[in-house]
Amino acid sequence: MNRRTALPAWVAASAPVIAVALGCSEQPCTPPQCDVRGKDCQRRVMAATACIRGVAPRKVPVRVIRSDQYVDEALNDVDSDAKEAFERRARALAALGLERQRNLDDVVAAYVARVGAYYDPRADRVTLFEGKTGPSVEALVHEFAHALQHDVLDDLERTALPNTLDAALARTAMIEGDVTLTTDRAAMLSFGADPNDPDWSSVYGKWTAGTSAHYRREPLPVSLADRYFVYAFGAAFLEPVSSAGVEGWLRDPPETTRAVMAGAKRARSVDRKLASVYDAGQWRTQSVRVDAGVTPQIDARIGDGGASDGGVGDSGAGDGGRADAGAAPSLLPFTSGVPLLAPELDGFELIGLDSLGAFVLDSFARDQGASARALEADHLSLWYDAENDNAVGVYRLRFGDDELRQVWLRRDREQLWEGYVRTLMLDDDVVLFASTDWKWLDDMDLESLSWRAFDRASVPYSLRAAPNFAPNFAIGRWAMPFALGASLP
Amino acid sequence: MAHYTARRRLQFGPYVAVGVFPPVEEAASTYAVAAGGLGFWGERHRAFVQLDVGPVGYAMLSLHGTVVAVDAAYGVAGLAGYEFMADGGFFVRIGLGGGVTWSGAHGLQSTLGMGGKI
Repeated sequence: MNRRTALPAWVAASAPVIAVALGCSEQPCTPPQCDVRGKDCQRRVMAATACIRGVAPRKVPVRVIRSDQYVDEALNDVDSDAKEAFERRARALAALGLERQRNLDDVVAAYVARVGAYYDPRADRVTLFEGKTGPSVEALVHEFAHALQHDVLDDLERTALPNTLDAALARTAMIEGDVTLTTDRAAMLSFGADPNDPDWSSVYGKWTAGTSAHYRREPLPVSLADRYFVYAFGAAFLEPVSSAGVEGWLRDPPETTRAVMAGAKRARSVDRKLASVYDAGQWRTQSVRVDAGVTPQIDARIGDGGASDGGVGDSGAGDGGRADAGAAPSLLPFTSGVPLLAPELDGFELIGLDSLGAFVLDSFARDQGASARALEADHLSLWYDAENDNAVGVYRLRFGDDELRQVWLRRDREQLWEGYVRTLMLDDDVVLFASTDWKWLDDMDLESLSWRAFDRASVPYSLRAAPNFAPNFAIGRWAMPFALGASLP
Repeated sequence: MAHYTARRRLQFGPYVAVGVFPPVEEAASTYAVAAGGLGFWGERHRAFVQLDVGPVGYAMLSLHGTVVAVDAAYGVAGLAGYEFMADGGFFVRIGLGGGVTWSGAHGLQSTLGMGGKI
């Protein structure tokens, strides 16, 4: 056989190579690769996003603005009282060593620096930030997925929900988890892969484990808890749930991070159990230990817990109303079911009330190598003495059926962490924490949160393991390609 | 599959090939195809050059730290090297070269193979 007769067969056999090499057929839900600033691109991305979610596309306005423009807008929307309250709270957190002291302008700028886009459910509008590389298709898919949650978000807006960090994390986990599922499937399609191929429970299981490991090293554990919790744990929670089930969880979300971590099958029963703990009125007064260096005048009569409506301050907004000194504990109002603890702190101003929940507290315990017992309830009251730059927190943790911890907070962060572990391990009584609802994104380890590249061309190629297809076995003049050469980096 | 010319000292063989990329983490296995040619000069101790169109690397999609999809990154590769051909047909081949994908990613290619020619 000579080369002339062999050539046509060679060309014919190469046809699949050329077809595959030149690109495969595009699936209908595949997001286009286009400039998201263009209207037509936006329409096609919305169509792909709706296709993935199995719903009809919506018309959602998209604006593209510069980051500094957004910072100006955001700061103009904040009145001076809110800004002052925020910064007072920041000073308190800084005094506790839990956050850096900073002003609102810096926080908003840091937030924008880390975010490529956002969806505003009230305006029903997506905003893309102009960055060095421009907004990505993936960012738009993500925000359009939020826009397709519009009805649910609208309903949630009108629903009275617990306003604690714990509840907010659980609620947001449903919203972001749902969108993460959509975004991940879009990434698969953009890559030319079948979104049903991977074992997603394994993918999200590894993600939650990795995220928890990162979180244990997070220097701003309270402020940035949402960045670690809501995406990974939300996706893991919703992944095995049907589409109809996802909407059900969006409309009626779990109330605690403990319930989210327990998974969809057990979430309701976990929430019921935790609710019974809060409602049981079994919180007991314990002896109070005050750490050296902070000597607030504390009335040891700590009010019994129990859910109640009403409002002193707002744990989410960082309202800084001064507590009524001398008020009887049993008459103290509550914020979103969080009781105000230790109401008589002379010279100290109430900064906020909160319930941090299992995700935050468990991570502290594991970080220190302690065998964490199941936290069932926690309450925090945070106080700040501006004159002396002192901050004090009063904390109650509950483990097991009737176990109760009463906890003090102080400004030394290490002391607080160790204190929590001692509480777990030795039944001692020291812990400290604080809370804020602001998303401070600087110092954040973005490795586990980074946007994936949608543009296939930007996917890094690993050349280490590429098989060499040159034939290594020959019979006569014909060689079989089953023996593949090894490639080195 | 390849076809070699009949010349003894100077040989050329075009080939086409199909291979499998094994599964990686959560990514399913996939296949790839290649086509190219091998040229040899010499007899017992031979030099060879290889040019092909085919996979020059993996393209891997990693989500949340896990590889979820793998695909061949196609491009053009060229290698040159040495082959020892024993009298009985057994051969050992070692080569080094480079490859570039259609999107411009590039890297070294190397091969270390052995086989038999009956």
